[in-house]
Amino acid sequence: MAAFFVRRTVGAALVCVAVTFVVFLIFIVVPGGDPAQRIAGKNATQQNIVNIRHSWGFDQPFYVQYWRMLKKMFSGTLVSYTSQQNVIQQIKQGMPATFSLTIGAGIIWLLFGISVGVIAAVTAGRLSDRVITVLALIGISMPVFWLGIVARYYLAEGGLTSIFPDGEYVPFTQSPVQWFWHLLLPWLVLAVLFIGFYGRVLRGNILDTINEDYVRTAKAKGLSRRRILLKHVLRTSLIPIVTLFGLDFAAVLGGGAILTETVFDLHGVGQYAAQSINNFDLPPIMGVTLYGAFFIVVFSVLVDLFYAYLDPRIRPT
Amino acid sequence: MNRSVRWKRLATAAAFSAGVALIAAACGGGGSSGGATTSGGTSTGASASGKSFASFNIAMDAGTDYLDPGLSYTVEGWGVMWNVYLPLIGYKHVNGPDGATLVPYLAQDLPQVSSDGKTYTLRLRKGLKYSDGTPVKASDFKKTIERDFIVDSPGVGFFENIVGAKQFEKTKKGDISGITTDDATGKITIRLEAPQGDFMNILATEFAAPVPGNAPGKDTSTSPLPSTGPYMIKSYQPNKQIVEVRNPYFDASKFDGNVPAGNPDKVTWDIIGDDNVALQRTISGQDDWMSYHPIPTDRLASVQQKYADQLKVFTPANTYYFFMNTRVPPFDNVKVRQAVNYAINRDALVRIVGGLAQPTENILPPTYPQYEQHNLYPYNLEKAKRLVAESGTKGMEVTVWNHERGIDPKFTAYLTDVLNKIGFKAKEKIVNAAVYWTTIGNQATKAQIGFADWFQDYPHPLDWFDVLLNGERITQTHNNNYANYDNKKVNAEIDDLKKSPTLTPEVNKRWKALDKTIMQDAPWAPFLNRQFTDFFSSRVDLSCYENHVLYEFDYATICVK
Amino acid sequence: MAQRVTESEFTLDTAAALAAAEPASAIRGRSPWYLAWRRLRRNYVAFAFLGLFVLILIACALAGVYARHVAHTGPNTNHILETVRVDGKPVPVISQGGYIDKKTGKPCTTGGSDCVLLSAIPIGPTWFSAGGRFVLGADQNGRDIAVRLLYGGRNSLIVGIGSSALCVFFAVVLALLAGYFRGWVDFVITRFFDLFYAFPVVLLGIALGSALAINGFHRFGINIQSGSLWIPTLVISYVLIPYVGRPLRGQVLSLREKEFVEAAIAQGASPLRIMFTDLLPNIASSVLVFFTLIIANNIVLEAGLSYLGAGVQPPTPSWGTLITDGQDLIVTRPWLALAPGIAIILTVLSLNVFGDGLRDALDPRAKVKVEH
Repeated sequence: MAAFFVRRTVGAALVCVAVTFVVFLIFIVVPGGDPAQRIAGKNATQQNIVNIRHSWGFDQPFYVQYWRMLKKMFSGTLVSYTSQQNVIQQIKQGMPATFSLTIGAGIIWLLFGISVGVIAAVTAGRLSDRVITVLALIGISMPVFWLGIVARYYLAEGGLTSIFPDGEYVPFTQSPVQWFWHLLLPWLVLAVLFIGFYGRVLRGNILDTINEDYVRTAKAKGLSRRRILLKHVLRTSLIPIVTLFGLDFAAVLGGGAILTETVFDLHGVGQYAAQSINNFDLPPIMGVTLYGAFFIVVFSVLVDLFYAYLDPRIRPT
Repeated sequence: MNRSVRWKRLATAAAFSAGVALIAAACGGGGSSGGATTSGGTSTGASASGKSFASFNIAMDAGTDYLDPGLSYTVEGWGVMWNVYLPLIGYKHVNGPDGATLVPYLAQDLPQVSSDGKTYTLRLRKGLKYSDGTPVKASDFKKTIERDFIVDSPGVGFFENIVGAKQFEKTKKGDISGITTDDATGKITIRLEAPQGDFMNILATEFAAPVPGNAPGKDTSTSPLPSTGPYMIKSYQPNKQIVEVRNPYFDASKFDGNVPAGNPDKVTWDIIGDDNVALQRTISGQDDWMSYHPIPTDRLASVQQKYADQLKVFTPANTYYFFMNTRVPPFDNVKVRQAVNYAINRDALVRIVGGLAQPTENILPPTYPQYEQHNLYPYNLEKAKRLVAESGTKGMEVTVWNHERGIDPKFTAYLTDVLNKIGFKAKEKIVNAAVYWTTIGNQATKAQIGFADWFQDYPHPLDWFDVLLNGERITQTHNNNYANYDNKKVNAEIDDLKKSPTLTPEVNKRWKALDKTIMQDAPWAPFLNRQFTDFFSSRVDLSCYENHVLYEFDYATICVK
Repeated sequence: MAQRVTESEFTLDTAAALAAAEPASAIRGRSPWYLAWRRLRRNYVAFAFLGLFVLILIACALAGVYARHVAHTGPNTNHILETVRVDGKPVPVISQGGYIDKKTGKPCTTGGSDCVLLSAIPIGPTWFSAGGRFVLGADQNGRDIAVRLLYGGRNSLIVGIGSSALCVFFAVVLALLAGYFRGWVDFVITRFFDLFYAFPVVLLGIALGSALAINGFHRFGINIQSGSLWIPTLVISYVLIPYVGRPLRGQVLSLREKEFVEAAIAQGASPLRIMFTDLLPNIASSVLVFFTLIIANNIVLEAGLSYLGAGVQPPTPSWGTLITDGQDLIVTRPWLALAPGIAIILTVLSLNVFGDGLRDALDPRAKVKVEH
């Protein structure tokens, strides 16, 4: 177990470093991307640009720049090119919105995904299964930002009704009711995709499991259908769902809900990432990438552990 | 300067090239209209006693770059700070073109200029204090300019003409010898290398607004420096909120009515990325002013219908144009450049922006006293085709450059279609806005033709002709003369006009003629002056509305019902 | 969040296990492909949706014909100041904006009570009442949306199918290499997968997309101009390689243990030969399913990237850029945003349903599932 942790921690750290390095390379080789010229602005003098290049360290070799950037990131002094805003503080500022979005949507998609999957599996072949399958397929076929735009217009901006508030994140501490109310639409929009997806996966898993030998044995023993379903089938079928959920949850928590955050203007970490990329502002891009990678690697470890707990045959490796 | 164009899809933090400054249009020429309702702004801002109220909330876009007067170079940053950090001299707080008039702020009088136009002398008002209670000293001014160089301010280019400034920029050691100050008498003397007609305007920029001499040589946006104006910045959380409160040490009576006392006790800027959210917040009264957010064209009609009394339309000083690179074929041929000017239908381009614009073929915007409409290029597609045929460039491949933000790419979508119609093989090249200006400003790119816009840094023709069209200022990289327009006669005329310290009617006439001379060479195809909207909550009393030529809406003089 | 392709959908059930799972009596000399085809043939729903997809393909392929003979315009032709006859009445393609006198319809200055502020709005859907012009309306440039929708669909499909082909190709090669050689080759490839797994897909996509959009790619003898459809195609294919490569590698690894591979090695067959003649056919059915479903996924991803400005670059239309354009006019002209969205849903849905059917057909146990 100790070896597992050491190995995974080292591996995770390496992945994080590698990920930031890849991003750094992508943006350092961009032609026309000389940040000194952009910082200097339109009224720049030649000397001005030289000074900026020097004081920001753009005249250093790229590996030195990379190293400096990492150092600044971990000491919390990394600032953006655009307006010298502290990257760590900006990420922290975006975290409540991103966390609220992720946790709320996660609960919705997990609950509904499981219900949909179970109902479809139990009624497999019947009308309700067909309807659910079709709905689930439509759900996963929609571009999430399109759904967001359309939902915003028709449900929040008076296209059909304006019962929902329009975009914007309200901090929980400011007003829990408004927080909930403002997030409801983003939660639903983000969750639709996952509900369809999880429902389908779970339905498949349940149907597979039901045909396993031990379930047949249980049936032969005369156990009730409900008991079999809950105790044996569901437990086994949920294992892959846990994996999926862990990884998806981590990705969204790590700023992966870029499109949803952007459409609803939630000012989360994902939107910050998109803005920064659009401004070719390398320091925040690095910061957000590291932040996102952190969640993904941590959650993949957690998922492995949980896996081992649910299924004792598996030892974490 | 470009206005920091808010990108529809993402609220962008200030684009690197983000820019500055606008003029109100209430008057201007050619029917350029002021507002949806009659603008009644006669506020002198002298004393607003009896009009003060508790708080004014603003739904602000995300364009603020810095709240450090030495670093900020965006419309938004200056709009927030112009009532916070006062320069020695500044602009009159009035509506309309009179707002371009310079008046003394921290200085007792306007500068005395020596007869050779190279020495400026000012005297600081007595008894001024920063918002932390420390006195304002003459030497602070000198240190402020030096600080601009130390923090690598985007404004340093404005001060290079001061004796010793170039040297200081290189070494960042010692001082700028051309500025001498006397703390006892408050006397400030500035010596220039060469006469500079717009130097007073430069003294009126935020870059020259004195901050305490011991201000740190780095960005202070989030721990704002003590202020000299009616307000001080209490807190700034980037991308979230700015809070301004009254400066306890500010005394409006010291400023001869040039600086308003300020009506709201507290001004809060909520930074909102999305136009629709900002609109909703303003309609609901959560915020009082939708600042820098345009009302989406799609919703303009319904807003106008329901809230006409809360809506103002203004035309800041701006020109949208297509540049044509005179060094690269086919645009090295004047006939081709003229052909493009004939071929674009400016009314069509106005419709692309939803109608909120004035068509133009001038370089200067109509809000300038130096503006005189010339009808050199009435729409004539046949003539354009003929000119292209005559030039012998028909069938040439042309790349049309633009960035991707806001509505701007739609202009080049139109231009490309037009170029194809008059005989070229045109295609578009869209580049991310963050790097667009440095890309087309790099000679190696050889950008043939493309989109550009300009919003003034200060209301002076030099900010247009000298910055954008003086051939002597063409550079290898970060070039602002995208057309590479280099006409010896024009250059000489600009240089000569630069020497004149004041804009007399005589001088204005020469600027008018210059606009026409340049357009006969057609390095640009100017097409429109954009209009913008100001939208307010129902409690705001718009009889106090004041839109300044440079800083736009004045939050200090607004009042509530 | 773009749709994620997850391995768990495929690892257990798919082709790897198929050959073994199929009871010998049922085969009786017939190839598993034939059996799969027989199963698929009976799945009318899957076929109906395949038909829909083919229909969409044909429609987009005929974009040029529609543009020339029905709409009489091109995808990038502006008609801003023109008028079009709708039911015999002339209607401006884009209405006049600014301050307009209500009575005269002429521009006016503010002050008059009849002087109102209007915005210039493009014509809405004419639904063939204008002789095929502007069937779905125009955009702010006065361009025919129906024409752009078809051309856009063509580009979206090119990017979607092209990127899927590339993605599956690279994933297969990497999976075969990793699974066959194992050891350090496998180690390197797996780490590569891990690395890109740790990126949120959209984040990596927009980072690469925006960076390459500036100046294209001109290294290693490859020359891609910015604005080329190759850029989104390559970016999208690249970011999804690990999502396909990982499960395939697992299958190859388990196949590698099988006797027939050992036998081939003992006979002295070259690794290349074993990879492509022994291993590849055994994962081919998975690859096929992946390919179908990845196209669906990539069309959605393209739209997302284009929305964020990192996908297909204007003026080239794609369904993603059309939605983005349409967003600005959703109040007055909702069809501008709705039409491309619906096009995406129909395309992706048809691919998903067909992909499902394909998998069920290739997976013998699917039959059992339905019967239960």
